[in-house]
Amino acid sequence: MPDSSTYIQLDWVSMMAGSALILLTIAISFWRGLGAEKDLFIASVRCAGQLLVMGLVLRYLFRLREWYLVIGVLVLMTGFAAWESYRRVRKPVAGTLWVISACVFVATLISVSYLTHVVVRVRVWYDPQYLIPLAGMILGQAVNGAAIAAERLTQSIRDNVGDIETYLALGATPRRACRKHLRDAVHAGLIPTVTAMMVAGIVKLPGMMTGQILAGADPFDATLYQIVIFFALSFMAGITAMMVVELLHRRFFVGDVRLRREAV
Amino acid sequence: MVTVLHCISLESVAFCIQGLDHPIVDGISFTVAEGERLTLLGPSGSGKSTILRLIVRLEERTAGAIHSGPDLIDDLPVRDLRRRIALVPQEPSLLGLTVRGNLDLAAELSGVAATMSYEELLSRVDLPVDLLDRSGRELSVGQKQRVTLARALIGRPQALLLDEPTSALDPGLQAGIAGLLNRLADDLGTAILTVTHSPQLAASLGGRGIFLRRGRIEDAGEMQQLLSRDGGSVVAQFLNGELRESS
Repeated sequence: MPDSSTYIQLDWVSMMAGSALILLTIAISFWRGLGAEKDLFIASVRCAGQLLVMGLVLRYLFRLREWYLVIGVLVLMTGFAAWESYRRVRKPVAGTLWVISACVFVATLISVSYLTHVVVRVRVWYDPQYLIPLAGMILGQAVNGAAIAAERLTQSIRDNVGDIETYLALGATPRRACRKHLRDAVHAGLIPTVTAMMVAGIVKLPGMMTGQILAGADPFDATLYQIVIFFALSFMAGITAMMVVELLHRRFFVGDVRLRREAV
Repeated sequence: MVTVLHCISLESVAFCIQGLDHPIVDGISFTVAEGERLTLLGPSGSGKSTILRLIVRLEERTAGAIHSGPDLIDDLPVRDLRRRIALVPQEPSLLGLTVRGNLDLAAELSGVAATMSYEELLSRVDLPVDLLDRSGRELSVGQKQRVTLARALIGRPQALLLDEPTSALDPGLQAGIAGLLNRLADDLGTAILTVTHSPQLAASLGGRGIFLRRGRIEDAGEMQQLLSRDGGSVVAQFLNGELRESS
């Protein structure tokens, strides 16, 4: 863990100075009548509140180091991630919440276990210093992967009922009838991750790497961590999007026979 | 005694939708014999297209029985049912593929070894062979309609179900499609069940006809007789444009 002597701690003056930036943005928006103040204000308050709570929880967890508390926080984080993904899907088909929740839970379990035990090789399996930040990062990706894939698939199926029924009438299975839409949805779910990987190190330094460098870590060590994290993020976004489309498209069909009228 | 083999038979078939106070299809019974031409005629909203969808299980009936040959359609694997009975939908969609892509897809999905070359298939539906590698976007509606017919014929179905096959065509082209369908029925022995609200197409197709209204059979018989009912009959009212209804 980085020593506090290797980085400059932020005091309340620094925090106020940082807040001035968002206040300035809100003020400019208000002055020019651009209407972004409400969104910016709510987002800033939510962001600061959520992060402060998380910071306090993490401080508490790091002190106690109890496995059940760490798992509890992970389950909560995963639940919120699933709910946030679900919320982003317009007019979701019945069962979408369950599909997204199952996929986010399974993908998180696989990714976090693999990262902590095979890649980082932590000494204590529930070490909150590794488990919580790693889970936090990959969950953010799961939210993107699941939400974008679910949204794209839902709209795509509804916009192409005629073609899908043409496939079915020719004897295709639902999966074959939706294949193009499954591909498009997975592709869309991966765009943010792929884009971030493409520009990493050139256009911007990724958040985790920047954070480690600011905290005093060797830049090359921070880079190695970041590369592994990117691979884990793309695994998370990819596997979540793939599981979501595989399970979700079935919710639009009655067996292998026909489209569910109320779903489309 | 001559045994008539039924390709499709419907017994007291009904279809209702939750929230709708009247059935879409209400106690329909009829049979289609092998190689027969039968046309369902009626105004919009009379349940004609739904009947076709019920036969291939794109909708699930709420009552009655539908047989394909001796088999209840629910007992057949759905792929086999749709190989036996091919539905040609009203909107001729070529699924973003070329003509060849469509025929390849139909061959792959039907799982039946081709008995006709693509060239022969296209000539059967009056299309020039040089269209094979054209994209669907480059074809006229009439050409697309013919490609969907060729695509449906790949699996050598026992019956073709045609949903308003000429609704998007000029009157001149309608007669061409009717002639083509009659030739297909005669040459290939395929039963053809057509749904239309066009008396002209119904007359050109000939064969037997059923007149539907509000999901029920109002009249049935040889098409020529059906179309020459006297002025008081519901068919005559429809022909005179006095019946306009939609669900």
